[in-house]
Amino acid sequence: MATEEHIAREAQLVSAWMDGELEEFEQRRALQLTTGSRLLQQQWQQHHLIRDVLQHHHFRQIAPDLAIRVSQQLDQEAQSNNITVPKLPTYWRQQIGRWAMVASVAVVALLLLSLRQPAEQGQLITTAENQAVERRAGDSAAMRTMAPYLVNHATYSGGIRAPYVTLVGHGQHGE
Amino acid sequence: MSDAEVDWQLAQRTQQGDRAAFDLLVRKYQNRLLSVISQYVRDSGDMHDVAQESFICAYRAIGQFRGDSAFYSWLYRIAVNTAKNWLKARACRPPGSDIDISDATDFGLAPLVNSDTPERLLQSEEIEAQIGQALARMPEELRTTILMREVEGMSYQEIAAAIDIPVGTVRSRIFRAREMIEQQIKPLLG
Repeated sequence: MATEEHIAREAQLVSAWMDGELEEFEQRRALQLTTGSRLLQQQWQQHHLIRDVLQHHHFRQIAPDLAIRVSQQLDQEAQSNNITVPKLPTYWRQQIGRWAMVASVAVVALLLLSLRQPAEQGQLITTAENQAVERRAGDSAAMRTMAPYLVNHATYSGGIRAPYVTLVGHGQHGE
Repeated sequence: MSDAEVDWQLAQRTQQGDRAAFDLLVRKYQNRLLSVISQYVRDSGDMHDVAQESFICAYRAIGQFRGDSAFYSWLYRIAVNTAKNWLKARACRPPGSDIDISDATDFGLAPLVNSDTPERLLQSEEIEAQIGQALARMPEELRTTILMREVEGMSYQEIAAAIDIPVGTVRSRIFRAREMIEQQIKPLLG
């Protein structure tokens, strides 16, 4: 008896749901109940048939087994992996799209960076070499200018020339 | 929540992979869809095939349904396109038997205006007659309530206010009326 009452209550809930007369928490319950019960699914189908007739949606033929046929075909196609799974909801598609875009930009940026680095390193090496050559050239010019002094100085310094010359040379040529 | 919102809820559940929710949409619209397809397709078996194909197409494309329009409008367009494609495919196929040249111009073209076979009309008329009988037999208060809901399209709140009863009573009366009609047509549905 209690079970019958319970079933009737559930059936009434589904009836109100198809009229769009449920609160949100009841809707979820109705949806859960209906999708899980063949009896309630049949009720849903027949109550909609009654509605169609009362609202004068003229139908020429009824199709009591069409839902079963559709369901069977979807099952078969799913088993043979031929069916495309329904696409993700728009929101998630957009989110995934955005992340994919960000990721691809990041990859391109990294790629460009990695391509630029060896060139820059080469450029740095070349610059350093040029600077060394220029410095050597400068040293030679300075040496020529300073030669008489250094020679004289060497005379005064008692033969210990090299480190001092180098230091003076660099000191004069440096910034 | 309106009828369209219930559909949108079911469509969203289908998009999340809930096949049972899609099944409810099929059960809800199968007869109306068959009616649309019958405007294009003559044979009863073909009609069912096209209806089935339309629902499969709808399931595959459900991710594209955003709820901007009513689900039924969207489904309707799919059904019409499927029926037209079916007609085109059939027009390309060589006919099974020889057809007279005078009939050839009509072969597989344009919606069929009057495609009802006597058998189908009988079935449809019988269901309508049984529903009429059930309405006539049920208590006056149930009949009034169900007609206010289904024919006038009034909400439970509006019905409650109009006949001065609680909303809960409206809900139970509508359900009882539907149950009575369902019992009446059940033998026809097999």
